[in-house]
Amino acid sequence: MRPALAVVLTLAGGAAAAEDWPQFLGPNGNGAVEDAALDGAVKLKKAWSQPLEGGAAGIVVSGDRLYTLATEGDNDIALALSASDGKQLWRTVLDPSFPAATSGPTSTPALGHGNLYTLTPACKLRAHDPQTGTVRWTVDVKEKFGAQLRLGCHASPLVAGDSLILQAAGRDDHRLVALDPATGAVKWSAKGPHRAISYSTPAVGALGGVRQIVLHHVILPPDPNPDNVAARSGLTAFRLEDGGVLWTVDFEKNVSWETPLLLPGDRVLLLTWNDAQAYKVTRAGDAFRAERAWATEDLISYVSPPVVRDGHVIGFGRDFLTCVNLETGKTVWREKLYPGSVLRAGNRVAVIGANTGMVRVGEADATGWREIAAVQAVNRGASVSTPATLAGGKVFVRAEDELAAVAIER
Amino acid sequence: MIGRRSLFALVPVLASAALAGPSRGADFPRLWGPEGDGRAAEDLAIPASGSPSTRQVWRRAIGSGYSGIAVVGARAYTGMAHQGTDHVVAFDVATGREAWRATIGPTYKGHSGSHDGPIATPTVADGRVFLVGPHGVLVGLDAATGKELWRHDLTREYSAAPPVYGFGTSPLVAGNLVVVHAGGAIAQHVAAFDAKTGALVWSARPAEQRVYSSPILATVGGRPQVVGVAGDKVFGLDPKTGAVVFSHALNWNEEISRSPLVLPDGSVLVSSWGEAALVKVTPNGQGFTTAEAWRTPRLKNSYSAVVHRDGMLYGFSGGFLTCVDAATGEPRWRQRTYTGSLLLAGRHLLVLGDKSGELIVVEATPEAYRERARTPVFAAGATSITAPALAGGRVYVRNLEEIVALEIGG
Repeated sequence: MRPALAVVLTLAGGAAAAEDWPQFLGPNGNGAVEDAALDGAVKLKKAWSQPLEGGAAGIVVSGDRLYTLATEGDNDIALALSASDGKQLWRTVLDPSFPAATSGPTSTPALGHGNLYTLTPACKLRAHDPQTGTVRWTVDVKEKFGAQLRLGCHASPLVAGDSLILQAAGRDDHRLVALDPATGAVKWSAKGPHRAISYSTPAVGALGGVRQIVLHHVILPPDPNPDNVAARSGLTAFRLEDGGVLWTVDFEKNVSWETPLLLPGDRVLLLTWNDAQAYKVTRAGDAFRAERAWATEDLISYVSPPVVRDGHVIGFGRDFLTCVNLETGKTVWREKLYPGSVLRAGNRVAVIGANTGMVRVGEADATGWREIAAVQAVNRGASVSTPATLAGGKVFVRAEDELAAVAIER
Repeated sequence: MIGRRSLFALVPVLASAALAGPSRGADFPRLWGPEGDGRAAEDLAIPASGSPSTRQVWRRAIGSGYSGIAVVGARAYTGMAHQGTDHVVAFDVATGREAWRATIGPTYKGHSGSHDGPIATPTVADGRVFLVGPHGVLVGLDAATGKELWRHDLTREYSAAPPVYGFGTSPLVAGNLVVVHAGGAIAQHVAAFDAKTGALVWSARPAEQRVYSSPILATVGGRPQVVGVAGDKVFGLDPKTGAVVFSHALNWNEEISRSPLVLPDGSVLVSSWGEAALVKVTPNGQGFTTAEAWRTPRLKNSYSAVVHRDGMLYGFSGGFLTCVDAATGEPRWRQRTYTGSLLLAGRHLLVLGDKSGELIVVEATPEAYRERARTPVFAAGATSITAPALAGGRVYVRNLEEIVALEIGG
């Protein structure tokens, strides 16, 4: 947070802006922050834009610096830009682009432990000096953990306490790993319960009072073709401190590569390409159990998980911004905005169009959606296929060919 | 997540196909024009310089479907879902008023990223309309009234296996036969029916894999053939008997969606989600020999046709409209237009942005990307993957919500 700005905003109407956005889905891993960044009579204005060749990695922000991955010529690169004007601060060439990863790098970097962490489709995990981009250490995830992903590595690394967590998609005993931030050495590695794969970023949080990592796994059908939609999703939870498996559940049907969303009340929500399924996690002593609480076809995996506000889950189902009741999964309202992603700051929700190029800010509560401001952030028709970022009084949008900053003004 | 899903080629693989039948000047009787090669029979009447104007003639609501628009005489035909039923529907071209609708069967529900309703485009010939619904029901209808003349259920009668998102193949009319590429490892992989009675005349099993693609009628090696493509074979069949004339093995383990394109020299362009290949087919005594001239990732599959003009190929490579030299497979230019579907109209490419909802006119020249007009037609963000049709000086476009007739001129 920039102190001067915070003072001004506080005086102007109880608003504050500007926490950092250190990793995929923000500081809380759920696309939501508890501040007033979107409050008041906001106006949205495109502040700056930088062209990018390709890639769909998200944006992380610390202070006045933002970081992402992109393609440049035949390579994947990491780059740092000034959050205030988009000026490039450094770029570091990482790996030759991985041919099967046709969208380029999609893993969102992470900031923590004084490092910037990046993962490329070529499955190289690196710790960088955030000031210069200089590489401090590299782990070859393919070589070390046996990651075997046809399309390369795409999960986002996560900072959790004093560990770096990576869904490594590795051999059976290296599904999920916790690494030492200083060296990249393995602190623990965990075995998944199935012959399963995953491209997804896990979620980290407490369920039943125990900090855990909830991993979305995908069970392949006997047919070896991994594109087969007969594949099924499932969830497995690992104890954060040592990687011990706490509980696991396999869906009866439906699949995606979505990140799980932890809901209040010890529930976990996972969106598939055909529905959303909520599981209630209960604990009896050391034993955990997950049971399906509800499912709805009105929320579907597209760009981001939904956000939670006041007992409601607000996200996208096909063309509709959709609000469902957190307890029952019943739809409360739908608003046709065409597909997009959501993020929340306090009581306000921002909707970022997946293809409209629009950023909209509005009230989304039990009574419906009321738009307050909107702006054309990136080109109409451009794909925005990664969740957006809110930091320092700006919304950052990553399109296939452009990184745009939208200033929130009052 | 869009990115991940397209990484997996799990994106709905749709409207692609082509059919045959005699060219009729101003008509547009089937998917991708009179010859099924993405070419209209006419050019756009736009001036050599300056910005052409666009005038909307009519706009009507329509049910969901990727089905293209066929135009013959005073009627436009397409497929749509409405209130739980999939239909063939006929519109009056002057007013857009619905003339009739005919039932195919229960709606095919969209899933895993796809949408409800018919995928294939109707084929109109000799006063009849033919369409394969997504559940695999082939109907023959009276073009004037919509009265059903006959039907076949390809899954029940021949054990045809639907591809993941449902049948998308559009029928080909060759003489008095309706030729359908049902696909799969069955005796009726390709089946030809008497257009008038619906009686099965011949069937052939030149390939094994399931397809969305549609056969075309073209002259290869001096001989008119039904040319079709599956992931394992591109082949030519004798239109009268179904006997295999030529066959070339492909190594693509996927449900091919784009129709083959036959170039003036008889070579055949085929595409997978990863690359395109040009197959030379040469008469050799009684038979034919085949050889691949080139393969390129520059024209890999999309929802759009690849079209040929004066030795150049125009098509999409991801979000880039691309011109490729047909002789070498080498690119001449590429321009980021975002994904869309195109139609060649004389010296112009007519492109509908599949997420922007904008109609773009581009000169079909190897010199450079030259955009002549850009008009928003559908809502930004709405799924609009159906290619434009052009007949009698009017452009017809549709998406999942609306059908529109336009005039583009000086």
